[in-house]
Amino acid sequence: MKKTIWMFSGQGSQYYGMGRDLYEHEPVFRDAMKEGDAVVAPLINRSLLEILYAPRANRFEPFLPIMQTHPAIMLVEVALARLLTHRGMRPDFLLGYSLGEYTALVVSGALTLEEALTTLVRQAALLEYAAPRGAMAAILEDPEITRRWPELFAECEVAGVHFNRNFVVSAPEGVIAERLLPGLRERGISAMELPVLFPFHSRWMDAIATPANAILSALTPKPPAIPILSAATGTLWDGRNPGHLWEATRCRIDFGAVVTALEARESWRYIDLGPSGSMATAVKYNLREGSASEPLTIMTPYGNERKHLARITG
Amino acid sequence: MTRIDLFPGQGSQKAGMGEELFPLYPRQVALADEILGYSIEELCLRDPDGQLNRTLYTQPALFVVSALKFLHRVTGSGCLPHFVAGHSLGEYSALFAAGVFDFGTGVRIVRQRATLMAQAQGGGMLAVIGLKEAEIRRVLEEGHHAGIDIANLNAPTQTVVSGPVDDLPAAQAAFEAAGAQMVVRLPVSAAFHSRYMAEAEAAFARFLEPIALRPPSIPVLSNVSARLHEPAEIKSLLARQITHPVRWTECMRWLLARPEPEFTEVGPGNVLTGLLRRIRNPS
Repeated sequence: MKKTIWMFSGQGSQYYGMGRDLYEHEPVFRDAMKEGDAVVAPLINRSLLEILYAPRANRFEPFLPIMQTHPAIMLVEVALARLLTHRGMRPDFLLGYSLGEYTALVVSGALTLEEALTTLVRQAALLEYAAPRGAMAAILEDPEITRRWPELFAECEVAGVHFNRNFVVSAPEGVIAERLLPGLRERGISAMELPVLFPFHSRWMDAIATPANAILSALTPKPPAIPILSAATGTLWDGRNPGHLWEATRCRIDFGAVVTALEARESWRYIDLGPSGSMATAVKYNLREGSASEPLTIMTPYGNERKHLARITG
Repeated sequence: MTRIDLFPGQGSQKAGMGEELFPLYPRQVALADEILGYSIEELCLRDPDGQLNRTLYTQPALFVVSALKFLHRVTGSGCLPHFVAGHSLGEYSALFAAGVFDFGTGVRIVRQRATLMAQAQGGGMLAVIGLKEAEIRRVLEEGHHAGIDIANLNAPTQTVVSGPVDDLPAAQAAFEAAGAQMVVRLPVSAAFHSRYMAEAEAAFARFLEPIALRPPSIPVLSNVSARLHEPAEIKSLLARQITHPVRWTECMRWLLARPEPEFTEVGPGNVLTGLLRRIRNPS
């Protein structure tokens, strides 16, 4: 039987209403969401449950406020992990991408949900009040185009390479919407802006490196009960040196290389526990022809989460 | 419980302020240095040229220290206040805390405000202790001190007035004759928060015009209206603050009416904590 990897995504995969089907119908998921909300709401003076699940005038409005999105993304992922565990599923590895590395720490038992949420809210406050604003865009082309048109990418930095013809760039405020996207359109290249307010995985994050590391240095993770793979390094992480979590936010991520290395060993069941299924999609496009691996998605902006879940848990 | 953060204004500065904060936020300090053209850390810690008490320097120094202190507080706990308010210059620290502008923009705005206010000349301010607002207004009216404006309503019996330097001695004598416990000339270079700052107000309004502000993410009180800022009115209220009285007592009473208010003074000193005590307990 194939081994299973649970994958946790980060900033950019969130949206209002994420996990709604599970929240409304699955008590284990709902209880985890309530447990996390009880930690976060007194800090940010807003209920995440209300932010996520109250009816909205425009349900496609991007979900942006960092002090809400940071804890909310991790919370829905932890809630889904608890639900899968409750259904008897056990992963062999956890794979965290960026913020998803915090989720992996919680799911592996290295940090409590409360510790991780509080740390994320503190990091979010640091971003909110001290980090330069910016934007990110996913571009459906080979990253080689950054060398072909250096002037177009002059103020951008490659933040992540996901698969052949899909990479992400970060840039300071204004650059992406005003120059990069129109320039790509002119050249017939598809791209879309991600729902984020900061240029993650780029040098502009260095502005908060010192205080960000100071926040992390207070963490003392226990040894993970489930091995954690870091998308930032492509290697196992034992939870020691919490400064690694800053690297996971700061450095460029070569997700394609991570999947290629995994595929070179054996075939896997990759289950995406993130809100949008973006990691399962990235895995799918990294599989070689004939691979027996299965990328699987549960939560998507289009709902049907219980149906997807039933297909996976059988 | 309602958490309220208060940010002090001019008068709360002292050499050594922010000492514990500067090493923790090197990029913010470097950004402030770049905008101001001098070392903010040197000014706040050692004040080698004795400039910290000059408006031009006091205002950016207080803003930087209070903003970093807020940043340190909020990233230390993850806990946001429910309301914020600041006294005069402190209103800018409160607006930073409310997310209306970022740190660098705040330093730029405060630098401009300080520059314009420091250019004003020929005026001064008196702190009047022991008379109520109505008594002060009566003294000004009956004594025909038409040149004097009320500048700060700090507590029920603590008021600051502004006016031309030549008019201040007569006003001081009149307040003393009316029974003021103490009338003190403040060490400032102009008649802040009065009609004499009209030029600074106009220039500052022009400066603010192109700057993009975000709507407050935390409700923030206006010194001029003593009510919560509305996004569309922030710039005009900030410009008017330069020529209008700081209605601090009303601001604090509005906040004291929230459920179980808990106040924290974020910045150097405890001037606002003292005022709050007098507002809560006027006897």
